[in-house]
Amino acid sequence: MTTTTNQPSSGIMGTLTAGVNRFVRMIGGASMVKFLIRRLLAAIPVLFAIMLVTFTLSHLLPGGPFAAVGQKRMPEYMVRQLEEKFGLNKPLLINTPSDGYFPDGSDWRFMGYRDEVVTLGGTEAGAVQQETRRRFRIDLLDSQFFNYVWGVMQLDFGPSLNIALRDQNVQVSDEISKRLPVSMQVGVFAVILGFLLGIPLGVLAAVYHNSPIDYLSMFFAVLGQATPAIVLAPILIIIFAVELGWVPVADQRNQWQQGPELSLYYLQILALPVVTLGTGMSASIARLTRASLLQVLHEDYVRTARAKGLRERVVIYVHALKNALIPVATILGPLLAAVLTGTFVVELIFVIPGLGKVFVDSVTARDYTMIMGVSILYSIFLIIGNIMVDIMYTWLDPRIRFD
Amino acid sequence: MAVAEGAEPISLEEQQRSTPFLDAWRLFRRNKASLVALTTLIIIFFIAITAPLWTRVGLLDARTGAQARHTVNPVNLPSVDPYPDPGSCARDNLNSNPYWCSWLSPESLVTVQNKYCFRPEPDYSQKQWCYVLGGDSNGKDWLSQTIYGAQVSLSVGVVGATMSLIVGLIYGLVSGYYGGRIDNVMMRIVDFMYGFPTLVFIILMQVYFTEVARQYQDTDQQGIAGFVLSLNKDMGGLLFLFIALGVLNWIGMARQARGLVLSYREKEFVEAARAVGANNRRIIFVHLLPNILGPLIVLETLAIPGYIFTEAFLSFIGLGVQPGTPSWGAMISEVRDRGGFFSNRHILLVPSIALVLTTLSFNFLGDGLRDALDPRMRGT
Amino acid sequence: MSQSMPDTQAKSAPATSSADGRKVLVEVTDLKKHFPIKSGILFQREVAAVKAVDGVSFKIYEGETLGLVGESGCGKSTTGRTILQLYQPTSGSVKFDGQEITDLKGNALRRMRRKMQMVFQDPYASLNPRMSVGRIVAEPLVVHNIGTKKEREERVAELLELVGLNPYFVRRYPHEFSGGQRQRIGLARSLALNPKFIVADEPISALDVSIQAQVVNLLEKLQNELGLTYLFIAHDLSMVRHLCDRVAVMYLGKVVEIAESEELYTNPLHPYTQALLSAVPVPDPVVEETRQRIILKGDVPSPINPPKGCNFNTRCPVSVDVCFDQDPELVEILPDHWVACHRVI
Repeated sequence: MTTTTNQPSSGIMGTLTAGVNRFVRMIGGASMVKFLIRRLLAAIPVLFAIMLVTFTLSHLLPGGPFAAVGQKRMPEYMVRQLEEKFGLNKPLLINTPSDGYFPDGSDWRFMGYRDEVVTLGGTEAGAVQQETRRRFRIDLLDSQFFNYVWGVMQLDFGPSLNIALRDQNVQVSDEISKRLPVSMQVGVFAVILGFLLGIPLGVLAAVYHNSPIDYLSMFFAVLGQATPAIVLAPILIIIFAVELGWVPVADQRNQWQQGPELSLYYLQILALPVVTLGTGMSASIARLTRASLLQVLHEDYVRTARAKGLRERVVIYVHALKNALIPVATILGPLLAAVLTGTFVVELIFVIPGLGKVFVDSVTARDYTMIMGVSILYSIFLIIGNIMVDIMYTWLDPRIRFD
Repeated sequence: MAVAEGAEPISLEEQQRSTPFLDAWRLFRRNKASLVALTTLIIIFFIAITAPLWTRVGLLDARTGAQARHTVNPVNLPSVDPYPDPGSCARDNLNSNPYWCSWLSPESLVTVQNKYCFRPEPDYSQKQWCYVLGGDSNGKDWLSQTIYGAQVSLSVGVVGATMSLIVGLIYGLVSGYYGGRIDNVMMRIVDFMYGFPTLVFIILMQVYFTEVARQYQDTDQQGIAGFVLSLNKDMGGLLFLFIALGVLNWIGMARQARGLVLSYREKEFVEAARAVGANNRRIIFVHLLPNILGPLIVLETLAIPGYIFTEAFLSFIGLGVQPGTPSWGAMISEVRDRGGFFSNRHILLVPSIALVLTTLSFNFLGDGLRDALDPRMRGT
Repeated sequence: MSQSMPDTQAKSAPATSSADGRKVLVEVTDLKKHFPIKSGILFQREVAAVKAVDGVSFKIYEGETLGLVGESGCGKSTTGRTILQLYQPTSGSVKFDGQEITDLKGNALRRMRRKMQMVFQDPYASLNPRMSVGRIVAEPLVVHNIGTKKEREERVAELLELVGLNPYFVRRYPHEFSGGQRQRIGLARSLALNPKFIVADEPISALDVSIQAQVVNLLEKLQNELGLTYLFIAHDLSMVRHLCDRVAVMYLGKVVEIAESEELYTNPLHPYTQALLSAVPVPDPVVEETRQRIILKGDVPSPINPPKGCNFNTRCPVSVDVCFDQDPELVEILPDHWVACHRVI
C-alpha cells in the first residue's frame, strides 16, 4: 500500500478496471462472463438438490453413526446424549409443529427470537463461561437438513460423526483437506501420464495410417479402454510388486499424506496407481488424437504445406499437429469426471488414504456429515468440469456463442 | 409416356440389392475386428444363456457352486493350499489315509504336504469332477462360476444399455421435437442432473439396497415390496443393481438423442413430410426415429463396457450382486481377500480374461457398428 | 418503421387485374414472419426478433410462374415456406383460391396441403435416406389415405414416369441416385396429390449446370401438361428470366420491385434491382466489354435490426433524406410494374 499512496485513487481504480477488462476479454468477452455467471448461478440449485438427495439417501440407511463401538452395541442413553450433542435428535427435513421439537421448550412458532446458550472459551466438558443470547430462528427450518445447509452456506461442513474420529473433534473440512491432496496426486499424475502416452501413440497411428503400426497402437488403445482398473491393478501388483519386487504392494511409510517428493520410494508407491489410472486415459486420448490428426491431414492447408515442398516431418509436427491437438484439449473436462471415478476405484484397490477411501468408510460408519461433504466436493468438481468443457468449445470454435 | 431425356439408362435387372440394412451389413462386414467381436459375443451369450442346461447335463457346476463341493483337499489342515489347481480332478467320498499318516506330527505333515497323506483314495463309484480352470477355497469350480458370472455381466450391460436407450430416446425425442418451453424445462432437468456424482449416488443406493435386502432376507413381506424383494432375491440382487445403474445413466443418452433430433428436425425431408401433411406421430416414427436410432445404438454399444465395469467394481467392493451370486467382480476380489497375489493366479486370471474379452468385444462391435450405422462419425 | 405501413401497402398491392381475365391463385398480403431470439440468465425471454419476412405483398396468377429473387438471407425461402404454412406467419394473410389459409388448423390445413406443394433446394437433404423411392413418392398418398396399396403403386410408377425416371427404381434408396435424379424424385413426390401450386425453393442451385437445364425443362413441361402454377425462388437471374412470367425482387424481408420478366430485365427501376442485374454477365463480348457494374457498398444490414426508413438506404447510391425517414410503398409506376422507392416517381 505504501507504494501506491502517492497515486490518486482513481488511478488505482483505473488500473483495476483495465485489469478487469483485460481479464474479461481474455476469457472471451462479456457474453462469456454472462455465461459463466449463468452457469454458476445454475449450479446453486444443483448443489442444493445434491445435498437433499445425498442427505435423504444417507439417512435412509439403516443404523446410525452411534449404533456401536467396535463390536459392542452402545448403551441407549449414550446414543441419546450423542445424538443430542450433534443435533441428530432434530427432525430430518423440516420441523413441523407435530414433530414436537422446540429448542427452548416453548411453543412452535413459524419464526421469532429464541434464547440460545453459547459456550465461550474452555473445553466442551468444562466451559469457562456460558452466555444466553437471543437469536432469530425460523422454527420450520430448525431441522437437521436445513441446519446443515445453513452451515454449508457459512462454509462449515460440521464435525465428523465417525466413532473413530469423533473424540478428536475432527472437522469434515479438515479431513477432506487432508485427504484431497492424496487423491489429487494420483489424479494429476495419471492425467499427465495419459497425455504423455496417448498423444505420441495417436500421432504414430495417424502418421502410419493403415499400417501395422496403426493397427497395433489402436489395438492397444482399445485394449486399454477395455481393461478396468480392478483387472489391471492386481495384474500390475503381481508382476511388479510380487514377481519382480520393484515396488511395494502398498505404502507402508505414510508417504501419501506427506505429499510429493523426489525420492525413489515416492515414485515406487506412485507408479502402479498412476499407471492403472493413466492407461485407460491414454487409450481414449490416443484414439482422439489419431482421429483428429487424420482429419487435419486431409485439410487443404496441410495439402498446401506439402505442395510448398515442406518436409513431411515439418508438415505433420508444425502444421497439422498443432491444429489436431485442439479437439484433444476438450477431453480435459470429461477427463476430470473420469479422474474422480478413477481415483475412487484405484484408491480402494491400492489402499490409498484418499477421498474414495474416506467416502466408503464414511458410508459404512454412517458418518452423515462426511458423506455429505465428500459428495458435495465431487459434485463441485463435476460441475466445474462441465463448465470447462463448454468454455473450451467456445475458445476452440469461435462459431459457438452463448447468446 | 416416354422416359424423358436426361434420365440415365439403367438395366432392368436389379443389380445388387441395396437397402439401408444391407448397406450397413456390407460396411460392417468390412471391419474384420468387429466381425470377430460379434462372433465372440454370440458365443459368450450362447454359453451364458445355456449354462443351466450344461449344469443339468453335469458338465458345469451349479450357479451357487453347491453341487461340486467336492472335498479336494482336507480343509482341516491349515497350511495345505485349499485352492484346486486348474486341471486337477477329484472324486467325492474320501477314503481314509495311508495308515502311517497318523504317526506324523502336524508340523511334518506340512513339509510332506499332502503328497502322501490326506491324498484321497478315489472312490471309483463316484463321478469324477475336474476343475478345468481351477477353483476357489470353497471348492467352487472357477469355470462354472465364470460362465454364470457372464450372465450377470451381460445382463447388466444389455439391460443397462436398453433402459438408458429407451428412456433417453423418449426423453430426447419429446424434448427435441416439441422444442420451446417443453424443451427448455426438460433440458433444465437434464442439465441439473448432469452435475450429480453418479458413482457416489450408485454406491449410496447400493448400500441402502443391500441393507434392505439383508434385513428382509428371511421375513415374508407382503404386497409390492414383498414382490420386489423376492424378485430381487431370485435375481441374485440384480434387480436393485439395474435400478441403481438406471436412475442416472439415461441422462447422457437423452442429451445425445435431443441433439440428433434437433439436427434432423431441420432437415428438408422432415419439412417435406410436413408439407404433404404428415402428422407429428408419422414424422417422429417414420422420419426421425429410423434416422437417429443408428447413432444412438452405436453410442449405447460403446457404453456397455461402462455398465459392466461399474457392476464389476461394485461387486469387487461387495456392493454389487448378493453374496453367493457368481460375478466377475466378486471373483476378482477373492484375490485380495485370500492372498491370490502370491499363488493361485487362476483366481485372478480367469475372471479377468473373461471380463476383458467381453468388454473388448463390445468396443470392437461398437466401432464396427459406427462404421455401418453412423457414417458421419467414421474414423473417430 | 412507420405505423401506417401495413394498411397503405395492403391498399397499394398489385390489383387483381380481373379485367384481363387472369385469375389470382395465391394472394399474399402484408405477410410477416419474425423469428424470436431468446436470452436470459435463468429463464429465457424474447429479446429481439429476426425479421426474415417483413411485410410482403404480391399475387400469383393461375398458370404463371412468379420468380422470387434476391441475395441469400433476404427472406425468399422463408416467404415460400410461410405461404405454405410450414412456418406460422407472424401476421398478414395468404389467400389460396380466395380462401384464407393462415388460420387453418388440423384437418382443414391438411386438406389444403394437397393443393400446394414444395420442391426443395438440397436434393440430398430433402429425401429421407431410410426410405425407398417408392415409399418416398407414395408418402403423400399414404398420409392422405388415398387409394389401395395397389393403386398407390400404380400411381407411383406413373409419377416416376412423368418426371422421367424409370418406374423400376421404386425399390431403390435415395443415395443410389445423382442430384438431378433425386430432384426428380422430389418433384414426383410433390406431384403425387395433383397440386395446383408448387413452391420451388431454389430447385436447381445445388445441381450441376448441365443438369440444371434438364430440371428446368422438366418443370416447364410439367407446367404445360398439368397446368401448374409456380413460385420459383432463385438467385440465378438468367434462369429466372428464361423460366418466369413475372419476377419479384426481395431485399431484407421486403419486395422492392415486381414486374413482367422482360420488363424487369430491360427496364429495372429500383436501384437494388439495377445493381443486381448489372452483375449478370452478358453472353456478348462486345456488350460485356462495356457492361457497367454497379458495386454496392457495405453489407446487408442485420434483419434483427433493419435500418429506419427504406431498408436499402445504407447501401443505396441515390438515397436522399426521405429514404432515412419513411419506408417507401410499393406503387405501380408503369402498368404491371411495381416499385418501392422514393426516387422512382
